[in-house]
Amino acid sequence: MEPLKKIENSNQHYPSALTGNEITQASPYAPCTETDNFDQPWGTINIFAKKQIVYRIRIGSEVPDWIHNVIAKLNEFLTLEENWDSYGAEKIDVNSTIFVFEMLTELIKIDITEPFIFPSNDGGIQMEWHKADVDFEIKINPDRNVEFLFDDDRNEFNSIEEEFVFIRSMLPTNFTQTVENFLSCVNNR
Amino acid sequence: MSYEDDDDTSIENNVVLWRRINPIWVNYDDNGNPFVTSQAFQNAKPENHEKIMIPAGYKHSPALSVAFSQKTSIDDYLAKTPGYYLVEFTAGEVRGLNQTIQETSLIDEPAHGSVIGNKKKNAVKKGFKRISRWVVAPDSK
Repeated sequence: MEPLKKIENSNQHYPSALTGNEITQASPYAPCTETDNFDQPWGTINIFAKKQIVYRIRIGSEVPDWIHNVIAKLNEFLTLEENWDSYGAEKIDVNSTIFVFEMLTELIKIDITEPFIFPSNDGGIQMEWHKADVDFEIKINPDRNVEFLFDDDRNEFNSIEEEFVFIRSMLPTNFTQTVENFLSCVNNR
Repeated sequence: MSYEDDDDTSIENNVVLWRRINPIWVNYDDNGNPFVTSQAFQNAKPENHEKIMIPAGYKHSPALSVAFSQKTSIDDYLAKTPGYYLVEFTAGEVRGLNQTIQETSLIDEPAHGSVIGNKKKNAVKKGFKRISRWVVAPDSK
């Protein structure tokens, strides 16, 4: 795994019409800004939307290669126009992409594997894992509400369907335990 | 607002329903077989429902849009969405997932139907994936 290089002058990666300040104003509640304090060296990746949104996301200097697949998918989702499912779907909310990325930066720390990732008709995004006879889904909504379900076809672990409000670094115990159960299935089966 | 979500029992269990699938909802399992995300089988957003279904005179709660296969053709149903895939299930199968069905014809989509009921529960999510059969399928990898 090759560490990401820190980008010293990040503005050069923004389209000329945008600056970091505008980005902050566009997403006032998004926590990933240059003022965030992280306890380890961080690299930077840009997520680009088709039109007005450019958002700089900081991620750990050691990340799995598949994170780039996720970024590509998130960028693709942000280009979807209204009614992209032909049944009246909402555009994907940029906050959903940010929260997905934030969630993954937490899960990467405990060696989560690459998710399947899909847009939702309500502007949210769903991550899915289907491995080792387990279905694990995390649906992230633009308002930070997270729905998750875990279903073990072998019944070694109890199924769970819960919701919580996502606050970075404050993941609820039942969620982190579910992630650990999932990883246990993947690693031991 | 009180909704009228009763099942239309005149719709027989063997009636086949279609659902368009945007390719972005498809991925491949470890064996290279395509699968559809449960997000492909969620109810319409309430705002969208109120914009389209309520003015058309329908009083059910936000639902999953489908088409009655006997009232359209594959070509017609996919005409405006080139590249989309198509899955089918029967009325009886969706009733088995605690859903109700109504005919909700629209001017620009006469074959339109609505599958009504909670689709957030795991059993329902997995249920739709289980009962769905490809009509227009992606290639296997």
